[in-house]
Amino acid sequence: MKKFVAALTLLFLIPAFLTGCWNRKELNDILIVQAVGVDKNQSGQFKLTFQVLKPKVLKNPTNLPSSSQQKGVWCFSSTGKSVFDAIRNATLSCDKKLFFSHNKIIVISEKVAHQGIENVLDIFLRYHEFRPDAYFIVTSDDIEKFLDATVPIESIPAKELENVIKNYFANAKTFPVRLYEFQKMSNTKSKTAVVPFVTTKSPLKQSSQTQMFYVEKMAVFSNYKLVGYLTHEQMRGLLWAAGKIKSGIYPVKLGKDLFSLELIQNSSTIDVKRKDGKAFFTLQIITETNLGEKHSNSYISSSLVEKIKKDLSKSIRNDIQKALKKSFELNCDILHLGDIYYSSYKKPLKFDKNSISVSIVVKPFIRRFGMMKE
Amino acid sequence: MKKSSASNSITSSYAQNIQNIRDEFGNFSDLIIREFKIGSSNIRAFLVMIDGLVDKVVINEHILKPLMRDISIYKKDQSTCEEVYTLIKENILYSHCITEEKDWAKIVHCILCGDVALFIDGIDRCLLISVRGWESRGIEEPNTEVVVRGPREGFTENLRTNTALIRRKIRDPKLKIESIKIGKISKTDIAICYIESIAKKELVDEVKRRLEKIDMEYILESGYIESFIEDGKYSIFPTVGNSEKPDVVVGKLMEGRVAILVDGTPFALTVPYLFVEAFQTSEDYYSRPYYYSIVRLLRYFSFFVATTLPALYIAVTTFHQELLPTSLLISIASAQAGIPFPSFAETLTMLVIYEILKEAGVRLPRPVGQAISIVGALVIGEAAVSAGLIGAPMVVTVAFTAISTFMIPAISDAATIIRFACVFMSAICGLYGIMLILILMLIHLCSLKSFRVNYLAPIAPMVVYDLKDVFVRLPWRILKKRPIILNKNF
Repeated sequence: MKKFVAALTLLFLIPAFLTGCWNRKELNDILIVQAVGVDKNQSGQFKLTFQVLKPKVLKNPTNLPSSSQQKGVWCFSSTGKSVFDAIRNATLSCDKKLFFSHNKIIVISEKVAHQGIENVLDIFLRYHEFRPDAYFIVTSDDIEKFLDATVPIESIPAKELENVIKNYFANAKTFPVRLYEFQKMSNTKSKTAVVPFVTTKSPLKQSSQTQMFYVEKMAVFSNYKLVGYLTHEQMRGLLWAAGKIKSGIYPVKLGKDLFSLELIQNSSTIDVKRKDGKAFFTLQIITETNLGEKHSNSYISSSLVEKIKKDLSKSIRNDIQKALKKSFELNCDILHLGDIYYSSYKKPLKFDKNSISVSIVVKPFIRRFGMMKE
Repeated sequence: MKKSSASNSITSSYAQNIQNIRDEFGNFSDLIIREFKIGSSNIRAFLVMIDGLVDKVVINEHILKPLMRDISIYKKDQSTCEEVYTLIKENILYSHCITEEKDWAKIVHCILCGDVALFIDGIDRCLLISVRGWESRGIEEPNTEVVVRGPREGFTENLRTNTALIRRKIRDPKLKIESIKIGKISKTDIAICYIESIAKKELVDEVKRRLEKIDMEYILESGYIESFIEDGKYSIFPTVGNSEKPDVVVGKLMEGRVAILVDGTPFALTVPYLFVEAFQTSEDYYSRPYYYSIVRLLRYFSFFVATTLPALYIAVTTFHQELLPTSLLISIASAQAGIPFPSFAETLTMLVIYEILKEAGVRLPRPVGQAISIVGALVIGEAAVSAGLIGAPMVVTVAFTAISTFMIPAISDAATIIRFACVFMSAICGLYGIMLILILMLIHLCSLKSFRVNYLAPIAPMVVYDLKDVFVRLPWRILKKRPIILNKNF
């Protein structure tokens, strides 16, 4: 018995010397941050905007998110000399401490992005409460307005924004980037990364109150600095090269006839060969599609199918060429060709239009023609 | 018991014997001394019995009637008392069980047990006739272990009935039922049942040794015995099993266990008792194995839920909010908004209320019992949530915990204690505290033994051969060989 008591005492004493969970905080004592926006004000100080939950409003799901009173979130901003300082300065005005572990979105203003964000992102990766799997986006809108937007469906705008940028798998025109992915991409040889550029727009012309998020284009970062933008077509080309296309629609125009092809399954491989100081990249794409739409009276004959396939390969090639062209234009290796080259030859690639040639082979295949015979 | 030591054997004097009986019992209101003359002779005799413990019809028809009337048929002439005594013993009494006894103390005990003692003038012995017959409950379906499929009979308070129930299932002379008496005053009959070739001799001896060591004045329930023979004296886990069903007990006997039946108790004890037995029910073995294997896994899960779920709730909502998916956190946070208590106080309140409700519900007379469910469900559940005193997720958590506890009735009390310990520790240091309690529990379980068998066997130490009936129940054609764990450690 004595031994037992001694063991028990020891057991309860040991935890006192171990690190454990000491920071007990009730749910009622924290503000759950859903989105953070980073901007700089006139005097060069960091201005952070937080979108935090209002649990009391969310309690009653019948409350419509339309009026600002009933919104499940509220936004406020704080300024500070550094990002962390601004975060802590938030407690000067709000009643509880901010809790960042459920932060979904980090929004960077275009202005800050142009100046470089390496140091801005540091705290998001360093501080233990932040999750590196938050989505990272850039906007040209005013950050406060952007985060405070009243969205039509979700009562939490961050949630809706997250869903919108995650929709890439259906359109293959954008790509959601998490913070750690951004960091990973920026730390490659090519030091480039792309990030969705999101703006708000009205759902319909006449409606004024609610706003929708719109992934307008992709922002290109080179060495943590915003250098330019990719259009949807260029982004699609980039996704082809990266093998990240899930599904999407390709309209093919043959004379007056219009066909929409739905991408079903895609695979792409990229190889590099060196010859005479020049790098020859071969991008091979195999894509399986379904015919989804047809504006034509002609029968689907095998010759027509061949024509469609030919045109489809042409437009895919076109997209990739556009992305490549933009890449040379911005003088940054957004296709990460340098990394592929490096992994084969252990040498940096000279990123120059003349020393790089990319040949693209597309093997399209049409699997099904839909539920109608013609 | 004034004179018992003075006259520890009976005399041949009729008057003296009567006097001795009177002295021994004093003025028992339920003592009957029936004096009569045997047949038409002049030999006097008397019967001593306790009213209520004996079968009156048997005494009237089969003892008094032959002794007083039919005995003349055999009587040729005037005989000596000795001859009459022999005649009575050998020819007259129809009873199935007659013993001759001289020892005064034994006679007194047998009378108190419900035998009839026949004293004949001039004979210094007495005949004890077994006519035990008292009002007792019939064999009913047990309340504690209800089954859908399987025998519906349960033990009764009558020891003989209980041994008969066991005997009826094993018709083999190897089934031994040994009897001892425990309790200095109550002198309760205890039966030790085992199957000679299956149960290890060391185990049987150990059981007997422990039973003999019991020094108690009275035994009212098998629980008294249990607390004296169990291994973990301070453990919250039971190391002696109990069952109300003969089929369950026979199953355990067939695995090599020893059963202890106590007179006046419809619960038979079985030893050794292992942790995994708490997760087995008789129906696992009677039904087809597939579904009940899943159910058995669910029982293990339920044990985990019953011990840790409220603690996990506290830990996650006050320490590790980042562990929850965001949408779940939002639901909990919105339910928690405006609740005036920290979640620890909230949990503790709900758990205590639940324990109160449960205990009140068990003891209440049945017609009043409905009030409990109304008060419990409506007032505590609905009203407390709508009044903003308790969050709805908390009610769900406690309800789920409570129901999970019912999945494992055998160790539900241990689970409840661990649950409270977990709740306290998680309020202090979160998941870390829960882990501490669970580790403590595991260490304790590993150190426990039940009659020299490791309590956690066959899981720890791992006995692969016996695992076929631990987490799942394999079909009988695989299971038909006996588990080896009970034989191994001796």
